[in-house]
Amino acid sequence: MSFPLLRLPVLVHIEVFKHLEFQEIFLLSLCSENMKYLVHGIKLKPKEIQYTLGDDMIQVSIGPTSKDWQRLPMAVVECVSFIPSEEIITIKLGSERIACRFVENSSDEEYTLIFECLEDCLSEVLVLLQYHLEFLFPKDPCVQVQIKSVDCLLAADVLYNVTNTAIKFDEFTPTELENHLANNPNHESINILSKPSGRDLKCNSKLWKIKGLSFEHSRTITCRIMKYFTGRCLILLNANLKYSPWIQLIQKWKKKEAYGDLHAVIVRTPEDVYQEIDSDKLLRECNASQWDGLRRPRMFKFDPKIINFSQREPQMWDCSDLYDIQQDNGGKWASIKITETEIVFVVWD
Amino acid sequence: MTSPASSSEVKYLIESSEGNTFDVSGAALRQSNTFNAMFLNIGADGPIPFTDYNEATLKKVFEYCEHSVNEENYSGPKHQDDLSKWDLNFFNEMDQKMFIDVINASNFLDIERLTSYCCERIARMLRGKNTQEMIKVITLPTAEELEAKQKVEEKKAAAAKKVAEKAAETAEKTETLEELPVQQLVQTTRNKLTRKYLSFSNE
Repeated sequence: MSFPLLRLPVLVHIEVFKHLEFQEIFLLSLCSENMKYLVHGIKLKPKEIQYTLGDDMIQVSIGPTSKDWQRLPMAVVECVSFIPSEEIITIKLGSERIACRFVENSSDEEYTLIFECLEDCLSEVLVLLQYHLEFLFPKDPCVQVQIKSVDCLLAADVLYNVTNTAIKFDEFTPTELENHLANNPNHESINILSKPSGRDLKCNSKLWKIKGLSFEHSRTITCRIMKYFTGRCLILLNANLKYSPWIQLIQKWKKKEAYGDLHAVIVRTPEDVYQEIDSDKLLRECNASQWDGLRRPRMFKFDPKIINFSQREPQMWDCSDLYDIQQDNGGKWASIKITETEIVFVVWD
Repeated sequence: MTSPASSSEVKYLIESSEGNTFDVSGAALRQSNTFNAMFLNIGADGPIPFTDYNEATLKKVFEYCEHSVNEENYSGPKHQDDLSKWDLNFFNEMDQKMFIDVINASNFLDIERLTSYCCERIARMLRGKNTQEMIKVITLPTAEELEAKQKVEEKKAAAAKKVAEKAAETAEKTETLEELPVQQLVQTTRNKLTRKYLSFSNE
């Protein structure tokens, strides 16, 4: 049965959209200019829009929304050099009509359709796609990018308002990242999932000023990162843990010499923490004391605001067993937890 | 409006666009938030006019309301799979025109459950389809059709322009033709008068 959707009242449109997935809403928005305006008028308000850039492929996901904390799939767009002429259709994406086709995606249960564009250049499609999506979501969701290759890192520079980047490729060198940060100066978080080489991470790197920073494989550069980081939240995984960077970080925070905006530092290691760090000594040197039940709340709201870490609801941590450290001259309180696998340092607001 | 002792047995008269009236139970009518806001507290004197909708549509809408009187309170959208056999039959019986009328009436009467089920049914028509297929479902012209339409319109406009130009030319010619005899008349009159003047002056 066919159905003249546009002739129905707006309230009915809103109700219909409640029953549709973001993927369907995206496909609907490509139907016509009127449908695009209709989706725009519904005023969907996702907080984040994430572009995952692979070789000749863009994957878009949305979230979280007011009703769902999960990131939801929206579109897969692929640049292809050939589409059989009988299958080509023209669709307006952004401001231009492009030749394309839709094919079923059998390899992914989440993204059911692939939108194949007859375009050589990924960045051109990316520009049109962002233009289209920006129009659909007029409330300016935060733009995040996940990058899977060096070429994609270069292509990502056509996106504007990028505030969060996750890097997921192995040949990564910090110089390319510096360029990316220079092109997108409003970055709020960087998540480096690949294995960086530490040689090019200079002390004046823009990376250290990012509010949220996470390294999946910080290993030998752990000390360097902890030393230069000046942001809000630092998460270092697969780290080589040492005593000196920790005592330096805590002492500088205590004396208010650095780390003024700190929210949390989490360092996890595959090795045994107690073999590297004398926890009693560290706590003694920092004048840490057990929680007295009064000076701070029991639950800590951990809100890292780092790409791919913030897609879940902010976690509430029970800090009743954590030791407390106060800044000199009656400043802020922080709490520290040392276990076999990690050291967690959180600062109370 | 009749008003027996028990509120559940209260019947209200509804007036359709044809001017026909039929009665609906108070319990069924209370599923309409529009009715609740407009008439429940102040009461209705005589038939309640829902004259934007025809009798068949209103009867269909209230048939649903009567059926769902005893169902638990509405708690947000449900998936089509959760609908009962009666619900499915109710929707399957409707043709497209009736379905649209029912959605519009249900939306106006603000009957949440029925509106939501209708919308879920529309969403179901779109689910799993690509843009091309969606265009067919929601009866939008395709890009090719739009282009063809635009070309036809351009051709029509060009033809109309030609006709207008021809008409303007013809009008100009007519004006000259109409002007000619007048000028000739003036000239002839002038000549005659000159001749007369000359003859007078000669005399």
